[in-house]
Amino acid sequence: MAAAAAAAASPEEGPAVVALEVVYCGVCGMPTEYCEYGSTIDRCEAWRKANCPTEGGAAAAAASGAGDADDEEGGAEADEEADAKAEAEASEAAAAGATGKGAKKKVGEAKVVIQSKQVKGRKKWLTMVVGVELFDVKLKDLKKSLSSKFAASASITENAKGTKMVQVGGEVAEEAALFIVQEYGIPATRVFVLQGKKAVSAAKLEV
Amino acid sequence: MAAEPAEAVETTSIALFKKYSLDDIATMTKLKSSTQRAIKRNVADEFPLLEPIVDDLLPKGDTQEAKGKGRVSFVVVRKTPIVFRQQHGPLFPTLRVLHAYPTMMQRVQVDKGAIKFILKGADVMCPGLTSAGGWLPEEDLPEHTAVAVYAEGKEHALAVGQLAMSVSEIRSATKGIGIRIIHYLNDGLWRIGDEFEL
Repeated sequence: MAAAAAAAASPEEGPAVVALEVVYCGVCGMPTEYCEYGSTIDRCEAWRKANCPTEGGAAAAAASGAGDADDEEGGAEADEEADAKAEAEASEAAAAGATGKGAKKKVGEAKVVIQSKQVKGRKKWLTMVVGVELFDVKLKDLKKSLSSKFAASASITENAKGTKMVQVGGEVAEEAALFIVQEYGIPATRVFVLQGKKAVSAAKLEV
Repeated sequence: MAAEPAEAVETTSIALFKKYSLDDIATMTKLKSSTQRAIKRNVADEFPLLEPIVDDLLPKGDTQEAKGKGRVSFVVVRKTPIVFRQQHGPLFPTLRVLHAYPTMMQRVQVDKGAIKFILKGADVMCPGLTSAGGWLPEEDLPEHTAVAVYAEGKEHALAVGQLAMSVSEIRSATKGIGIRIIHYLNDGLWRIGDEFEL
């Protein structure tokens, strides 16, 4: 990182064009020095300690560069642990927020999120169900039963973040919510339908 | 696309990518090789520093163009957006590219207090640039220049934006918007990261 520091000192530095590697935080995704401005600072800090002790984080921003080579012994164990933890958290977070919209909701409680949305530019709707696996429902089973319930095709897909979900044809978010509550015994208070930006609990949907 | 009056060089939307996701991308097309060459030339002209490596940055055959909400077009290479522009606005690198080649753009620096606002998508106010922690180039850059925004005590850029007034005007102004932020850390475009595909 010394190169970058030099560049920072003199912006018009020479012509050597080498891609600089920046360490991005595994939790918030920003360069580690900006973690302190995120909302997950504690987890960021833990991640940083486990993964790249040499990297200056929020607290160590000023001290970076002081102790370089010494910290290499962080050990594989700590690494793995942190990875597993980060992964678990990530998947939870992903499950909680369907397409990122629900992401600001509290993480940690299992919930099912259902959302209908229009396929771009066409008169076609898709309904996505996220999070059922947290209630020990097999995605494949749900796919089958939703498919037959709504007489529409259904599939298991992943979004960009790798969150698995069931997609059903048609604008059936509310029906699907009630169906899931009835059929799989998931508490209605834990099933949410996203209507625009609002998440409505299935308990309030009763017809 | 048609029938809209041509816009000035200013990129209009405030915090353009604050909420941006793959859903906002309308089309993604493979470019014919002549267009790819033109883009390469464009990038090399705009960022002379990148000229030696522009072939690696935009490899032949892997360069795609995506268009999305806000009339933005992106140049995407293997799912990674490299540069983007809004209609006739200036060309901006995405932050990851800027982090890799930090000297490619004109830079400005804001003081510590401004960081958290910028990370929420706010524009940079003049005092954030003229205070002790801020830094402006000696040279008087004109309005609408694309700049990389750095922060006091931080090593990497946190945003790219466009000057809302010239550098000399910023120096003399005591308030008002100095830089319009276009793309910042953890905005929608940042979060798409290298998963840019339809």
